[in-house]
Amino acid sequence: MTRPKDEQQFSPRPRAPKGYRPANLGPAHIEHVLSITMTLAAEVVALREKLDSVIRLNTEKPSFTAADVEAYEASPAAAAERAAWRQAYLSRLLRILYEEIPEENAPIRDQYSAFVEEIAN
Amino acid sequence: MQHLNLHPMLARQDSEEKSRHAFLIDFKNMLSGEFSEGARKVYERRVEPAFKKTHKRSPENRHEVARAMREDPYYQMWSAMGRVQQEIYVDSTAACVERQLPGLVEKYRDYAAAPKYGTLRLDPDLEIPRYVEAVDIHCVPGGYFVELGPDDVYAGARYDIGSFIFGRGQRGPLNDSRGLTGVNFLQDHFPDFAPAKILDLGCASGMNTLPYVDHYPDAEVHAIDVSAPCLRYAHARAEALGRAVHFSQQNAERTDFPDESFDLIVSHILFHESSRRAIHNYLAECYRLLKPGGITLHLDVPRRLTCKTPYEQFMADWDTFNNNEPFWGTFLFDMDMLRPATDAGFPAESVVETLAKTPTGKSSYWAYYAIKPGAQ
Repeated sequence: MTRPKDEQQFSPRPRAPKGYRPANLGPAHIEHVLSITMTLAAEVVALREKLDSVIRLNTEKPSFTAADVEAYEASPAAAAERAAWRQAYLSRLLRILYEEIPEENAPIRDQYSAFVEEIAN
Repeated sequence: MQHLNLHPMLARQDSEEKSRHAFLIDFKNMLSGEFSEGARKVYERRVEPAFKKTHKRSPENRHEVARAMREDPYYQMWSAMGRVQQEIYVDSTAACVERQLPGLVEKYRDYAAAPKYGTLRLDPDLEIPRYVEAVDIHCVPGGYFVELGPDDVYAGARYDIGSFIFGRGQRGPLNDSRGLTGVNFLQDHFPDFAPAKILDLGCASGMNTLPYVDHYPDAEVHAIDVSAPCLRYAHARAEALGRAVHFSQQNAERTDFPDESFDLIVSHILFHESSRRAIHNYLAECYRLLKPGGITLHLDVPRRLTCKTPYEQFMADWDTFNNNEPFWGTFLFDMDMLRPATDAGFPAESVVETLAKTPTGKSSYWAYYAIKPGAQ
């Protein structure tokens, strides 16, 4: 929608190119995308823990080298913090799965309209 | 989580692999923990009620549960996640071994050139049974048999480090919880049993063979498998750990050992990777190879005895359809396990199917044993 000139000097830029947008992916590709996503998720952990090593090394030994980062062994306390971070990360990453677990006695899908009627009255 | 024993043959994880693997273990724990519990709630609160509405009864077996659950979006996502977790962990452990492979092969050659404890006998003409080769078990590309070069140990090395991640660090520093469970079980049930010759069937990388060497120090221990790369690795690993084992490449259905060669024949998680006919043949071969009074003990996953309801059996059967474990469901729930032993000649009263506690006491393995008649 083009806004009136007195409100804004420029029209918003177009967001879609004219032409045909192909649909390349089919249902099977959802699994592929999931695989790519979770592989990426594991890389985020590897990067995050490497950064954690760098931050901790910087405190312990300010003149650390790349080899120090590679060889860094987290102390039991640091390892516990990393484990807790991974748990919280997984909970955020996989949050959508919780939404599919029905509450006890929740209405099943095909009864939802009747359920809305019931609570509306 | 326990830490790995960093023996000389074990592939080393770099810092990023350690992080990735820790994440993949946490991911699997979540899938088998709270999200598996989620699947149970989905079944009880959504799937089973809908099934009952249609059929006026509950599902009667795992196949009926499967038909209903596989239509459920939560289950579909959970199952897809499980498959993806397996694929990513396999790929990461495979890459870890591949980049160290030249050095591991060199170490194998050094141990094999001058073994101090045991021996290795390979048979390049051995026919690999179709039931372990037709699909790559547990979605490991190349399975147990791929050979990436001369004297290859890749498959065996990946299985060792992979077993630790797959077992979520719960199998002990040497991945030997099955073997330890076996020796503990024998100690509890047959405290005076002192086998002079022991055979381990389907030993793979030899992780579960070594506890028998430790527990029966006077025994001569043999171990067989059909995979050459696993046996090369197993031989070098046992040498590196200073344990005497005589490895040979043989099919457990029919070996070249003489009749009445062994006092004890064991296997660990072999049955669920085997066809029905192979399991019958294993028992027949055990009978032939055992001395009178000898014992054969086979350990495997416990679900055959612990999963009782149609829903539990359906969930336990996940690997059959999603993880390249074609005989999982057949072995777990459909086989009569008395027949293979009695057909082989073991008296029915000597055949026992029970549960054996793991060393930590936190879980159990399926334990199945039979005794050949006659005096020890």
